[in-house]
Amino acid sequence: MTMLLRWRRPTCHRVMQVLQQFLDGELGSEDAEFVRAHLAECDRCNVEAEIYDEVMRSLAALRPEPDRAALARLEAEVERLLSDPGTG
Amino acid sequence: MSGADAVDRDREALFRRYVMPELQLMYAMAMRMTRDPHDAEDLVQDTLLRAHRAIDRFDGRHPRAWLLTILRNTQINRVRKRSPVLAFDPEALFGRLPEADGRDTVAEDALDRIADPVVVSALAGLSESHRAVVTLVDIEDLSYKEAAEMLDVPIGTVMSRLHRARAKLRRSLEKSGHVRRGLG
Repeated sequence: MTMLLRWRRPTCHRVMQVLQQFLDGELGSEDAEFVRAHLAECDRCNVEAEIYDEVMRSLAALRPEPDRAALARLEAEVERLLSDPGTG
Repeated sequence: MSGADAVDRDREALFRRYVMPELQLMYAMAMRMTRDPHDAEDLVQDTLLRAHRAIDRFDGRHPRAWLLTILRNTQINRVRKRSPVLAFDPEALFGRLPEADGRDTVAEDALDRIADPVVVSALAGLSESHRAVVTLVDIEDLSYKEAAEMLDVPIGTVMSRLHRARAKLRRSLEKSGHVRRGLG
């Protein structure tokens, strides 16, 4: 029964097709607005969006911390390059 | 002021605008490609030199994708010089699994962040090509276009792999109770 009811509305189906792009900020503004409006009124799709958002946040937490010392050296290298363009 | 000075000033402005903000990302990608902090730094330095030479031909669109392409090509040349038989395999490099023992060996010196073993285990259930896309988009926050450049695949391939990979991760994380279940 639940499976039959799932995504029974064509709008839900359309939104689910582009949900990942929406969450990644890769949808055009008009389409994004369409998805946003749908999520505001459809609990089922909104929960889907929230679950994928949780999945994505769990993955983002695996990003290594930046190596500050290496970055400082690279910034110094850029300054050196810009102050002596002949080396470029 | 001579014309050459003006050109140098323009290049400097362009470089500061487009390249400086991406140093951290370039280094993170270099670490994933070399797995060695010193080698990663050398790679970024070589990339900076190339970018500096090329900046006045850059059209200003998608600076990150432009820089990542230079970084990638620079590394391909380095790998080729060191060993003509070794191929540059982006899926193997970016699809490498972070270790769940508290240290991601990709950046041994850099991080003290604990990799959540549940999430790492879910990642382990993906194919290498799916894990590579997830690593670039979800972990390193690249756009689809930037990930496509790094992996040398069409953008549609990045999207379809990412969607399938996330659906699989979602099921794994649901099972382990790491994320809640949908309304069905």
